[in-house]
Amino acid sequence: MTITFYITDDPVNKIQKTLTGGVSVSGVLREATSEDNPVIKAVEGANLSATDKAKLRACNYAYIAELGKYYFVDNKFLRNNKLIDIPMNIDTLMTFASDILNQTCLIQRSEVYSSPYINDSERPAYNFPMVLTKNFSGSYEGFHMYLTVASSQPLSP
Amino acid sequence: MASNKLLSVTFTSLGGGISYNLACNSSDNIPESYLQGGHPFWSNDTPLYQTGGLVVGGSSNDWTWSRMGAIFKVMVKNGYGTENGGRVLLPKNSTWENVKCYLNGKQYDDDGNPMPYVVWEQIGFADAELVYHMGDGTSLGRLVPTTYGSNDGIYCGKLYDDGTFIGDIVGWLIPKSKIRPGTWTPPYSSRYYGWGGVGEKHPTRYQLISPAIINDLADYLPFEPEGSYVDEGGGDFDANSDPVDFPGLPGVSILDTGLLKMFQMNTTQVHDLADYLWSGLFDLDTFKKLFSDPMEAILNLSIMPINEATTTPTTIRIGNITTNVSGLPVNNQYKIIDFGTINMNEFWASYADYSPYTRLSIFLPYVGVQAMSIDDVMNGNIQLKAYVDLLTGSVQYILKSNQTNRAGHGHNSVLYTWGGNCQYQIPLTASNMSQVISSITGTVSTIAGGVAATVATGGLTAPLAVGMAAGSISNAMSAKTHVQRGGGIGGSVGIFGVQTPYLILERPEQVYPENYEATKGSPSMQTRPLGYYSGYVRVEAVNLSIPGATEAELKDIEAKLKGGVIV
Repeated sequence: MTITFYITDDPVNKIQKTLTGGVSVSGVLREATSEDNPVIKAVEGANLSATDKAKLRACNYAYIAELGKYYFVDNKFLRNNKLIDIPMNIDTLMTFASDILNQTCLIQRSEVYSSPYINDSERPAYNFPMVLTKNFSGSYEGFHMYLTVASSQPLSP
Repeated sequence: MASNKLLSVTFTSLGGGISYNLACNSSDNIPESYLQGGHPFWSNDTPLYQTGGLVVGGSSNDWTWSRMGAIFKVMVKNGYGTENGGRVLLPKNSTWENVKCYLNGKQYDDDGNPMPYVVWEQIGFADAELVYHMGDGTSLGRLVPTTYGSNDGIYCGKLYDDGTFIGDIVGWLIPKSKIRPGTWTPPYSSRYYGWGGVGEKHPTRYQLISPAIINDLADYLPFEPEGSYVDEGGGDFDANSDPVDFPGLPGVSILDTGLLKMFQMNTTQVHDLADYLWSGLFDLDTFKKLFSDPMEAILNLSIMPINEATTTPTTIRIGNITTNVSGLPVNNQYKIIDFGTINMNEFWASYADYSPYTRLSIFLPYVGVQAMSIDDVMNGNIQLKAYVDLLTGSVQYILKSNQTNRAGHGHNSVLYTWGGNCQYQIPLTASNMSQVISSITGTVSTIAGGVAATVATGGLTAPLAVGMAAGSISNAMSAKTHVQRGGGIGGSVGIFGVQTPYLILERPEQVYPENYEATKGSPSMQTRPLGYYSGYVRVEAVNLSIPGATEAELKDIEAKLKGGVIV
């Protein structure tokens, strides 16, 4: 089994990650381990150059070709200044990236394709609203006194 | 060779007229972002921005071949910007104006020589806003057609060079109400190579836009994401609104009968009248044949904020006695006061401009502050008129709204009426005085009661939303207590109030954190393959089908998609 260790600076929720600094380590699984959460042991027991050892110490990502799966490096355990245990957990997004990208989804939020007129309860707002007044251009006509009287002399038709 | 490359966006005018496509050059692809309200072409040395590059292909009986340029010309009203990484940066509150799609045909003769441009058609669009992306980016907002050339209606769809024609055009370009079934008239063949091909009749590239496609189109109307054009709910989709105009004045007036007479009086004239009534000139014996008390013939003395009188004074006749006092006769019992029109423009150009985030109320003299629905009037204009009965002081405010919403639906009708009284009655007798005081006391009690009730209960429209994210726009606005801004203000106290109507707008002050769109996105509610997107995407629902993935892995993927991923 060959494990290639990488460094990625991408966020964990990025589907397709950019990987650098690959170091391949070959070995066999001597203990039963989970396929999704494997623990790789005695890593530096392999015949590695100093450069590769340095890369290995810096790695945070891995790929197991036999399984076709990508993994996050969870932790690194040292003994006698040697890296011996590397627990990992599967990155399902990268592992199944092509299938995921073909899935038809109802998209709730998007960075690119969105409508500003759909209610967005997550949009932040200050706690002070703006309160504005808008005058109509017209107005009443000033105060005037009016007298209404009864008249005994109706208008002639 | 089929490459599934987008060639054109098809617009077909109704009525069997000219049909045309908005297409790119035959060798180029249309950047879909342009069709999605994305980034217009940028010109740095002029305020004119235009989304050039689209080309209309088509022909008529008179032309063997033509290639037509369709250009969205837009002008930035207030401000210039800079280009940054392909995005146009403009000051806040910039708007686009004069957005038009000119379908000007650049003709080529049979030898391929260019001919002068001719105007084939023009599609006019309402002024469009800039859509501000979180951070500093901005793009052209949705274009809503207002005119459709010579035919009332446009079909649309996307044409690919593999012959497929699908209707997943973005919805904002075509209001749903304008999309309807009809007949597709294919363009005539091209004799020269172009996007139309050589000598083709386009039997495969152009297809009738069927109702089924139109049904699909509705899925891409972002403002009506739930809708479909056909069959849903069995409704008739009648979006026509009958106009309801301002009423006229009543044709019957009591002043026309002569039984009553009204005069506009100044202070001196009223003083002279009082002197006359208590003088020996007043023939009481003659008067008593009709009335037991002289005051019975003086029906009302009042103050009103209305100037309605003739300019020639006449002698006042009380009962059957002609006095020596004159006043300006009032011949019209009713009067209309037009307070004018206010444009209700969106501020954020988003959902935040509507309820419950934005609130609207109106102050009306002699009525007070009244609540309105911002949804009724936003993105339109309102006109306010007061109908006044000078005899009683009754005033009826009528508000007409002319609105077209973002889906292209609208009204031009009277939506609101409020009643009040603008007459301050001047007491002439003891009984008059007690009545006036009683009415004033009653009004004050109403005001006090209104305020007390509002404070005690939080008002009728007190906090509505709970469970929203802390600090969200929903919380910020809905958590605000509604305060009654005044009670009834009839004529007696209304004369102390503001005499000009005005609107009170409460808008949220939105926060624009850096990289908000990149980390949270904005509501989309579209159904597409995930690979169609780029950047941050959060999935609402998905039925995952991934061969080889375990149940645990599927659950993990679904949870991550619903939590938000970066494509």
